[in-house]
Amino acid sequence: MPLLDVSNLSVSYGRGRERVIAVDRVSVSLEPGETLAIVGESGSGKSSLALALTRLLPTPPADVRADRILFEGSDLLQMPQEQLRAIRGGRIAYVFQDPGTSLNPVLTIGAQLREAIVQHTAYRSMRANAQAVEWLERVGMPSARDRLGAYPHEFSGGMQQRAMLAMAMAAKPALLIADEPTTALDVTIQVQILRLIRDLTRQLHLSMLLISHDLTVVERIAQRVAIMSAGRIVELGPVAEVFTRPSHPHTKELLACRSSVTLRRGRPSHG
Amino acid sequence: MSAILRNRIALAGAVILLGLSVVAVLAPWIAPYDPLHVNLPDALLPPCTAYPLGTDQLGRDVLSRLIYGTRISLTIGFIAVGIAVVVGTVVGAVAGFYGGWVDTVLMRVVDTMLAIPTIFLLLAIIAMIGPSIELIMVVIGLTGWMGVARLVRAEILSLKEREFVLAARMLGASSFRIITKHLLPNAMAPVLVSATLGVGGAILSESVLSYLGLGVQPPTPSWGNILNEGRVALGVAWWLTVSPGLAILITVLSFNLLGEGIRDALARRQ
Repeated sequence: MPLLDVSNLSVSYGRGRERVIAVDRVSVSLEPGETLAIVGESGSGKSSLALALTRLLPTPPADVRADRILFEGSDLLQMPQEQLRAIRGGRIAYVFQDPGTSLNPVLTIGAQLREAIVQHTAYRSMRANAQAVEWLERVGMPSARDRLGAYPHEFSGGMQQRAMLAMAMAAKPALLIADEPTTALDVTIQVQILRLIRDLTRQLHLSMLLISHDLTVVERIAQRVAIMSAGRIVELGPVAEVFTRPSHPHTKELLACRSSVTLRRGRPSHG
Repeated sequence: MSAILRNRIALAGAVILLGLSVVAVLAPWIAPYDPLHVNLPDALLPPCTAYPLGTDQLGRDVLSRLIYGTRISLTIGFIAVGIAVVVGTVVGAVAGFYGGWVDTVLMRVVDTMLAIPTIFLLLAIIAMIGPSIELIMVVIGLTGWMGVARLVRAEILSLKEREFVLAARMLGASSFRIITKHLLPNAMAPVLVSATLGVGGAILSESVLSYLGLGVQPPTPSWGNILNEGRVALGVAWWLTVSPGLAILITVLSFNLLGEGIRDALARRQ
């Protein structure tokens, strides 16, 4: 049984003549331990799709419809808010593009990490603290114990993203939704963070929905890829297959863009 | 914090207020006489070595009365502003966070309250119910929360669009938790400034009420009613009105300077 099974998910904003369809009848499924990348240019509906999965889009203005969003066998569309809150952060964790704005500036890293731990696990006080240190160490935070009292602005972008990952992992989720997790970081740091994400998903047997427009990133860590354009999935398949034999013209275009950027690898500049 | 320490004027305000707080707390030990002790043979003495600030018509020591008045004035100032901050924060947070008709209703209430001149509202309510220290604190607090509500609402409106709020939601946080743990701590800086300025205003309101005889009732000394009692002897005993007047002036000025210092320090940080 797939971990996540989404069928005919549509997201639109506004109503009447102003109505804009962001996601158009998208169906995807995700096996345990699998990484599925969703690729598309800005405005193709990737982030709306990610947010709609746990019903985080405010309605109105958003309107979310689907036949079903099955996660671990239960339909998130039918679920009361109370139960959804336990799933968010508990079973489905998110990591965002810009860690600098996703961390609360007035709370310490330790306080925010403890909040995630206390909310979704049975650990309390001292043991929650120990867990916080352990997770910071696991995400490669040097001298983790001393960093608990630090505020987000004292960290570099890479360190902030490590802290975000620790918060995401602390509840031992089954699914990680990573929305452009490395886009806001320096190129040298991007590689480290990607490696960390890949290692964590393997160690914890985590499924991941990776949203990205960076095809090199997708090639490195995803098993399957879905290409999105104007709210629809235009192509879906194993990464190797889609990248070597793209069938949809939009995919070809995306791949062409990449090869012209990575010329030094000696790929042809156009399909 | 260090920015406030570097601002000499704000620092002076803070030191004066700290001194006044110490005086208020230690009043029974500092005051040379019992503020209520009537000693008619010594009535209306000008400042001298025995009575540094002179005596009033009943021979009571003005310095002792001022020292005890510090207690009353500061207590009223802090508690009234405390009430205003709590009410204003709750109203502003609810209006800003939930938006829609909740926001519209609450903000119209704020507008209506702001349209009524505070001093007349104070006078009307106290004239109806009768003056007492508790009532004065509550009424000054309940007529002074609108500014805080507007400030908090504006802060929440911009803060709730920030990504860390979405991140908190994604971690499964409830609305109550998001408001109290993620939004309000980020919105408190302007409230702190407004509260500091507000304490000065509340002390002034108390003085006005007491001066009009609707505030703290004699014989309990407050700066306003010492001033009021001195008014009748203004021609013969200047010390009765000058000293409480100066006390009010210096205190309100100190709160304003400190408040502005905090505001500048916060503005520089951003």
